[in-house]
Amino acid sequence: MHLDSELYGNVLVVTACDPRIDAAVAVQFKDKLRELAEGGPERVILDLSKVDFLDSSGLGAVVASMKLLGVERNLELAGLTPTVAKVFRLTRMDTIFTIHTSIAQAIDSYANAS
Amino acid sequence: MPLEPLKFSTDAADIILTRIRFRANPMAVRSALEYARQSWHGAGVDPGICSTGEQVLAEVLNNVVEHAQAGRPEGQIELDTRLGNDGVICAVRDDGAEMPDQQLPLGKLHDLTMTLNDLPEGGFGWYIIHTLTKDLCYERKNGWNRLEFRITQDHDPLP
Repeated sequence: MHLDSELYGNVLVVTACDPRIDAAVAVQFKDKLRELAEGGPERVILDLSKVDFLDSSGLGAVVASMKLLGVERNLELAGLTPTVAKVFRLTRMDTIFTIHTSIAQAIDSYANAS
Repeated sequence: MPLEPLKFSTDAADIILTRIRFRANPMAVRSALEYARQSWHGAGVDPGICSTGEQVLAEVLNNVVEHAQAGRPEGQIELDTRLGNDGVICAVRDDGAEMPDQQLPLGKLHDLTMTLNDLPEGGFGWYIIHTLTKDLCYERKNGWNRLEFRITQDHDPLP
């Protein structure tokens, strides 16, 4: 499981580079995301635009990652592909996360709000 | 041990899409899903059914690896999928532990009106399976679990 990260001002963007977040890599995904986000800005956006398959283990790892960031910090999502968006809708996890259509839109929304 | 005939598949016109046996570990599950995806696409199965099928099969196979075959990487799984006139018929068999009380787990969605720390990190699998399949049934026979279901277009709540 490969994750890239880049800082845009006060926002950390983490990009999931593999096409699948599934049971085989869920724990690895969670650990790597935590490592990257540790000590970073309070706003973290996870770019899922390269992920075309997410199973419930992968979904659990995304939820766990949000919990690991704690209440002071926020994990938002961006760039959900249709199959990934469907898993979030089905499980109603789309009501828990702030979901942006793209990273550009996510960063814009932040710039406009501040 | 030969594969048993499918419960729903009595139609000789059904096309066999996949008939494979593999070990109960996450990487073998990945390969099996990839194989199934290719064989379904190759047979011209509707893309929506392919996508739903992959999601459901992933949840079913993960459950087998994580529960029925927990700690038994040598455990076996068989996957049999067929194209019928009403979508795809799937049967998953494994020689692991039986379901608790030999019953299908209920797939209930969590109450999400809770604080961050109480958000569920698991338990979505059976909900997804129940929601996206038709005619889901389970049977324990001769030391094997057998789960059978259909993936049809008209049954998808979020097509």
